Amino acid sequence: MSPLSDHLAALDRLVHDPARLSILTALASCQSADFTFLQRLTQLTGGNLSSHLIKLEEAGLVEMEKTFKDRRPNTRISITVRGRQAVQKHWQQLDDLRREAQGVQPDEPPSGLE
Amino acid sequence: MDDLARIRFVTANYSTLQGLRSLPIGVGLAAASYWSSLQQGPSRDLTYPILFAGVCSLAYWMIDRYYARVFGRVKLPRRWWPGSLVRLLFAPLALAAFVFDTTPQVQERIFGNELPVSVFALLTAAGILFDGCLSIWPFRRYRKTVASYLAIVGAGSLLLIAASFHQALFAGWAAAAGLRSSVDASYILVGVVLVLLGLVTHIYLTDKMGAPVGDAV
Repeated sequence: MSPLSDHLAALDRLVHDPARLSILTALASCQSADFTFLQRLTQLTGGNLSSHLIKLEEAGLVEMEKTFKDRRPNTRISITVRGRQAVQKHWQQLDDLRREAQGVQPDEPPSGLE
Repeated sequence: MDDLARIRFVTANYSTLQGLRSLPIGVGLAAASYWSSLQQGPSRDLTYPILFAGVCSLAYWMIDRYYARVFGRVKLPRRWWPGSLVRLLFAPLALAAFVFDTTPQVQERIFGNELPVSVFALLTAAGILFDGCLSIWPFRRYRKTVASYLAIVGAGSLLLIAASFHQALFAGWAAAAGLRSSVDASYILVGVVLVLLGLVTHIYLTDKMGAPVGDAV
């Protein structure tokens, strides 16, 4: 196999899903966030977000804490150490893939493209 | 990648982007400046200042609840340097600038004559620009995401700098409006700019967060 397909095969399917990658990216940028914030930011429906969060929690990538705030149920979600490592590794893999697709050697500095 | 940059930027700067929070501060500053400008000499009746402070605190609390309910809550890791420390220093510096602006005797003693600029307005401009640059710096590679926010912060700071040149720009219409001095006009304008900046920042946050999503029935 070529290095490109090697990298593609190495991508973690659980993290690579766009919705789950968005959730993990948001959680990696903060200490914790609540359900409302994640739903608004990722533009997922409540049911969809719940199912993705359950999958991530089962994989040990996020932790959920259910409490009551102002007499309303409030779910606070935070990323675990394992989740943070997984998402950082995934970004690195995506960056490597992008550079390979552009024909840049992996040890060359990134081009600064968005 | 653009979308991930948007997600990271909004999450990391969520509290800074809650622009409506500056509404009570701006309205309070403009109202208090207008009220004090209409007073003949030092006033002992503190009913209005206490009323302004009470209404502004209540409005601030209501805005906090609005953001929590509509956009959700985010807890960020505590980082004292440099943002929090500079924000902590801003309050005593702003108070000192206010005292300096409103006592021409001090200005004359230091500079020989009254300063034509408001130090408070300049300090607010510097604070807003510094805070904006601090928010943008970790995301400077993602130009598309941060360019519009930088434009908002830059325009706000420029307006505040313009508002600081009170003697050159507002002396005429301050007198026509019945205000005691052009410094008061400058403070009112700082309040108005804070309100405008807050509204535009709120629109920016709403745009970046997207519309609320409901479950399909």
